[in-house]
Amino acid sequence: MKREIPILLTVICGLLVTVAFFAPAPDDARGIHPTVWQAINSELLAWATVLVAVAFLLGIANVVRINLRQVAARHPDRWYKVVLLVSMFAFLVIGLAEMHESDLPAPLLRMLVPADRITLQSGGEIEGWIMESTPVGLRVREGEALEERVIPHAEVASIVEPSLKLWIYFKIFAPLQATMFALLAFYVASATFRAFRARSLEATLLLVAGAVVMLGQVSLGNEWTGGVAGEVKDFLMNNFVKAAERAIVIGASFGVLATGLRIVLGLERSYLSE
Amino acid sequence: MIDLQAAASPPWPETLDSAAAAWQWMDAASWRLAPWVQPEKIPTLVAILVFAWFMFASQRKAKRGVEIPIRRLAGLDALDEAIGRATEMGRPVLYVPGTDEIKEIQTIYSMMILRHVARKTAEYGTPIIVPTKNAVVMAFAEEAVRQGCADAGRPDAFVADNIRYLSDEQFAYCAGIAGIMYREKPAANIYMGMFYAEALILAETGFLHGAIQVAGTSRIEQLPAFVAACDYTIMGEEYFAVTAYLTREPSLVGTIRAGDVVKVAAIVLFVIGTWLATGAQEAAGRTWFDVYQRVFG
Repeated sequence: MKREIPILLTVICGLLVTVAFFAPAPDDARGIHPTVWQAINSELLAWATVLVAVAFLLGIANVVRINLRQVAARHPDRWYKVVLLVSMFAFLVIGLAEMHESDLPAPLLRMLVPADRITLQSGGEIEGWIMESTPVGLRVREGEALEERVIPHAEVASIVEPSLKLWIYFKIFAPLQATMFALLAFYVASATFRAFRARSLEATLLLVAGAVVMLGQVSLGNEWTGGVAGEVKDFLMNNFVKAAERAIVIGASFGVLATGLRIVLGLERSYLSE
Repeated sequence: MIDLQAAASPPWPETLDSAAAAWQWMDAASWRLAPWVQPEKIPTLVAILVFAWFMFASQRKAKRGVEIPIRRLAGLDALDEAIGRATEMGRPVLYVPGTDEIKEIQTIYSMMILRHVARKTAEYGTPIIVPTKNAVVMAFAEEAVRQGCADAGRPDAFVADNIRYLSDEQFAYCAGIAGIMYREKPAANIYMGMFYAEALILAETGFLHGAIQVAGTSRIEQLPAFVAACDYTIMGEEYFAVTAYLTREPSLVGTIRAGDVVKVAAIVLFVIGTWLATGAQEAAGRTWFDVYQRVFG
């Protein structure tokens, strides 16, 4: 039963989503209304989102388990693991604190969430934490005891809402990601250098075609060749490359279709344990 | 459901002797089928049903014992070679299941391949490390490796700590894998699944560490990266033939044959479409090529 129930669920959900894909589209002009299939489809997608969110906790548990074990075993790289765990939990705490500003006790709020700055029409400035914007005004926690008050919209000139979470993301994480991405340029150069060595007829053809495409791709190369490189590049890309690409894509599409059908019909079971 | 008074139904044509009449017939049929199915998706539905029929017919044929040959795929033969080399060197195998979620069919397929790879590594007693970018994929990978070890009769070979969730962020995941390559020095790197810009970074990092590398994907944009940096690349449709090739299970081999038959039909349709498009170059009014385009997109 441990194996049959997941297969049965897969088949039922797969068939329902497939039927929903083909089910009549709503058309007010002709009086065709959304069908039960579309509702089922939306519901299943919502369930999938919930499942993914729950699975995220499994991911965190995995990171904590593996890295804590290595720290405990005094692994030579343990300090990297410590940095990872501290960063992960610090970001988690800061993110949660920003989401629950209105419920946090005053000391925690002061420690974890940077204060918002509200400039008033009168020229004065208030430092506090904006909870929400209501039709009446801004609901703010401010003062020594962080008491709530409402500042009417008419009195507010401008607002600055700093976010530690976004600061970390944009000032630390995004540059690190950009650094990794930038490495690609060097890897492209090294991989191209190896691939373009004229060791055989095929490799020589690749080298010549690659050189022509590179020349045709940049204005300077086109200028040097009087526009010939650009035309040859277009010819190669629109004929040889596109034909090969389409052949691969069509072949792969049938593979996708076959695999999808096998899974939806419950014929493919090797991804489940026995 | 449809209100029949809401719009007038297009009439059926009297004959089907011209492209304009065929177009009118399609209009009439689409209007009447609209309450039951989206008319523009009917060709897709028919194509799926035809494919499914071929698939079942080929499976039956294969199960009856009719041998369906599969051409030799060097990349798949290289999987054993890569695992064997890692075993000889006493170093682990790194299996990267791509960067997409489990809803991507290539990722699901990667899990099936992972099970076979895990069976082999368990047979040889070689550790396998599987870094994942998604927590759901991690759960699937755990099951695939556990099952692969069980298939090999070595359930004790499963090491839970080797199935790792790194990060949901693309380049953080990429950096994590590069770190594993530096620190744990796998002798064989296997990339199977959906890859994006990180493909070349991973493959080049693996190359710099001297690992034997086998990649498989049907994502066309990343194929050149793998071809340039890996020892073997399984591309396009070959990727979806991996389990059939490795297991020779009749039902799986049958689906490959069905794909080939439908591919031949597709080629015939391309030729017809090219012929119709050429004929329609200077024709006025509704042409048969318009009808063809309406059916096949």
